[in-house]
Amino acid sequence: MSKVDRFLRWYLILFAAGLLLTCALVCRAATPNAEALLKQSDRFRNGWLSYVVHVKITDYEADRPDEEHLYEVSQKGTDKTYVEFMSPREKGEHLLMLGDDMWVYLPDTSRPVRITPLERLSGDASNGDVARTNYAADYSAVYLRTEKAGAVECNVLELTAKRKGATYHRILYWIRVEDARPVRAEFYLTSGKHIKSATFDEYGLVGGQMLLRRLTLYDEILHNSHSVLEYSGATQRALPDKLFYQGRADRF
Amino acid sequence: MSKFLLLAFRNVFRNRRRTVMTLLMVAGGVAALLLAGGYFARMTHGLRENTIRNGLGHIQIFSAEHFKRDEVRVLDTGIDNWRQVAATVRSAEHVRGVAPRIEFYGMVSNGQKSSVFMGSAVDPDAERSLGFETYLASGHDLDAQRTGDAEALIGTGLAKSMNVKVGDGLTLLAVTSDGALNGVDVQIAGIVETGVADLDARYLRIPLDAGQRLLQSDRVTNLVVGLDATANTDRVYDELTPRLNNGFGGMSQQMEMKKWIDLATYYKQVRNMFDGIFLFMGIIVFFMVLMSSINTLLMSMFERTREIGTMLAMGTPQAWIVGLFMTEAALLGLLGAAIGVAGGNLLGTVLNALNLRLPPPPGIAVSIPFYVLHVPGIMIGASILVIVSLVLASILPAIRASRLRITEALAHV
Amino acid sequence: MNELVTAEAVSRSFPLDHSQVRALDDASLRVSPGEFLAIAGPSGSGKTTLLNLIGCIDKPTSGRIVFDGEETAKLTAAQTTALRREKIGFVFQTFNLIPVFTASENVEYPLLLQGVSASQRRKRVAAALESVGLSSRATHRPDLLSGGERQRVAVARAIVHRPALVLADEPTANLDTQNATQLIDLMRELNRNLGLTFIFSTHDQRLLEHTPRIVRLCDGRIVSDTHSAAALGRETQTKGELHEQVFAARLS
Repeated sequence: MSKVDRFLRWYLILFAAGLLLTCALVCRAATPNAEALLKQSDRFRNGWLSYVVHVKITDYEADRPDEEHLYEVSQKGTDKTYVEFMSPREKGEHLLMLGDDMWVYLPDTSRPVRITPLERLSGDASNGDVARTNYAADYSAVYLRTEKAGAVECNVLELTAKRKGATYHRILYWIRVEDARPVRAEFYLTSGKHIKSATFDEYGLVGGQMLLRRLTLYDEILHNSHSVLEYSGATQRALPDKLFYQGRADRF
Repeated sequence: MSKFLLLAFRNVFRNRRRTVMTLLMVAGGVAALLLAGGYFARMTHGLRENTIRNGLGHIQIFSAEHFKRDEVRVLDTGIDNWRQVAATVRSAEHVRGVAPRIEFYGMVSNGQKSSVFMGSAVDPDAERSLGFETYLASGHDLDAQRTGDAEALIGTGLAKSMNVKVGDGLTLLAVTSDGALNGVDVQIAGIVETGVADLDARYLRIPLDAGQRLLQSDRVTNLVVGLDATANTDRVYDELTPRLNNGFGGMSQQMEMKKWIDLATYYKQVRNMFDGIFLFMGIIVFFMVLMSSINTLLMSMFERTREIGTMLAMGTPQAWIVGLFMTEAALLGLLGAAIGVAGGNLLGTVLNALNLRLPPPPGIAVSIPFYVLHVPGIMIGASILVIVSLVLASILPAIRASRLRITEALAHV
Repeated sequence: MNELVTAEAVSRSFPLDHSQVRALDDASLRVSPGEFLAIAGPSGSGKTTLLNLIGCIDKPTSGRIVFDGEETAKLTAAQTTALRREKIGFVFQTFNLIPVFTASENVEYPLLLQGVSASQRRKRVAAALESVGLSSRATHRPDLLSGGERQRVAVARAIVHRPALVLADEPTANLDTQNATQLIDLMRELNRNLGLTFIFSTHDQRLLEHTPRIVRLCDGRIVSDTHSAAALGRETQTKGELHEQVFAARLS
């Protein structure tokens, strides 16, 4: 074979190999890392490791506003949440989440009552919807597909509960391709029943962080109610451990 | 005619052995029905009184709304002015007392663990005055006058799951009549054993005022009326109905009254079950007596062929022959029934005196004493049953006898 | 004199396999009230059949029976029953007493059928028993009586209601010779004293000695119907003979 031929052959081989290599690299890089995306999306709901935020929940019955409740949520890390009930009628009550457990504390009682994250807090909002917003801590994620939710291109993740304290058994999670901002979600029970849906309606810049301002939860069983959660006043704050004390109600 | 009755009577005893066998069979059937019926009667009677004394009472008063829809919020179908209603009812004759009740549910917590309870808030003194007993496995009944935490009775299953004993404290959580959460601490005064495992796992009882505070309401779910005797139920119901219809003294809320029998679904189911079994037994006895009697009656007819032929030859109307045979059967039935009634009653008395106990039926924790009631209705009913059965059995032989051809009958061996 | 009962060319056939058996063939007989006659013949000659037809407990296949002016074929079942009840008395070879009744109760039976009052029954039963000589046995049940006594009770039963006709089918067949003759004599006496018509059947020649009229049957046919002048005796002369005797007396 002539020298030119040998050179051309080597060039072809290298070129093909390089193409394959590049393809492999590109393809692998093209499959998104679901776990990483989930962690990223949680930042929109939990701006800092330790923070306080106010939540106003408005319950709608058949599209008519029914009730309103106010809460102050104090969260430390992914495993400690303290929810103070701020509505005048619920004064003195609070909710505590530690790891996989949750309790409600009532005034004038000497011991808390164990509750579950799935139980109703207000309207269509469960305790977990307010107190357990770090999905990466509770669920393992798998990338399903990319599709449009409305006008927004989203990655669709399938979240499966990985600890017993998780609120739902399974969540379908639509997060924006460009920044993993949550767009909508569908919540499923262990039985497979589609119990709720959520739309993450509004975001705003708070204290340097882009955070969720409005979330709507829709009942998928009877389809005649929904609840709107409005977040405000989110601030980073150092929270003492004794806030999350599980013992008797007269704690301070 | 009395001569024919005499003839029938004597004919019954013609074949001693066969008559004794038939009588024994008939008497056996009657006695069996008596004992079974007496046992069932005792069971249903006992169950009835138990049901009433377990807190069902004789008459219960609800708001009319209670039956039209389910509660959206607790006590939203409750009785408003219950004290006035209770006072009016108490004034009626035969009424022993009126006990207000609130039925509600919620969560109970020992600090670590929560459980659901199905509870009632009652007036302990009113309950006691009506003779409603709670079966306490330990501790004592509620005491309404108390300072400090309210007292509570919980079921054995619930006590076990909450890991508490008498004297320990628990916290109750419930949704109030306006939909808010409320809680109250209680102290365990006693642990109740209802005998039904499913009830014991959720049973809770607190005083009425504690319940009203927990649920933030002045209403009660119902009023339970106790009478001096179950037999007076209908009478008192009829007397109270007009008062109820004009609102117990002009109250606006519509009320409704239910007799215990309308509310005692379990009792009715049990009673219907026993009635069904007893009916089935009766049918069996009826057909057994019928089938075996046809044979014996046919046999005795054949044996008397020549005699019947003679009677027909002498000009006895066919109807008299039929009547004779049917009378003989009726006498047999009567005699057998009498023996059965006497024997059954005697056996029943003996069995009662022996104080036997039967193993517990499903769902109940204690063994049942074997005891039979002597029910005149059953005695008469069983007697009529066998007599009719025998008379029916005799129709075929009787008609055959009356239609015998005289010449052939006379030539019969 | 009117006949009490007439048999006009009566025949009675019975089906046997695929053919008929003629038990009685073209028999004619006239019986006047107060007669005492015997139907004689060997067994199987049709004696019982003839008696059954006369007694209206059987119907002829041809010919007719006229009883007391009435053609029996034209009577309803109820009327026939009534006829037997009132006008006929039966005595059977096997006595046929009701075993659970005492002698007097057995005798009472025909009176019961006619609805006679209790006091009347008592009187007539006593009289009947006396006429057969068994007053002392009134309260005995048949099983305590001898064969001859039983048959006499049967006779008492057959006459207690003063029937126009007494039929006795081989009444002596189950009795010893002495009782047999005594029975026939008894019947003869009752016939004379009470004026009841007696017809009896027998195959025993010896009993026929004092019988005024003998109808002989053979193979279902009447072969002879003789009035025995010798057996008549002084009391039972025919009208014609009496006339002769008086005339003869007048002449001498």
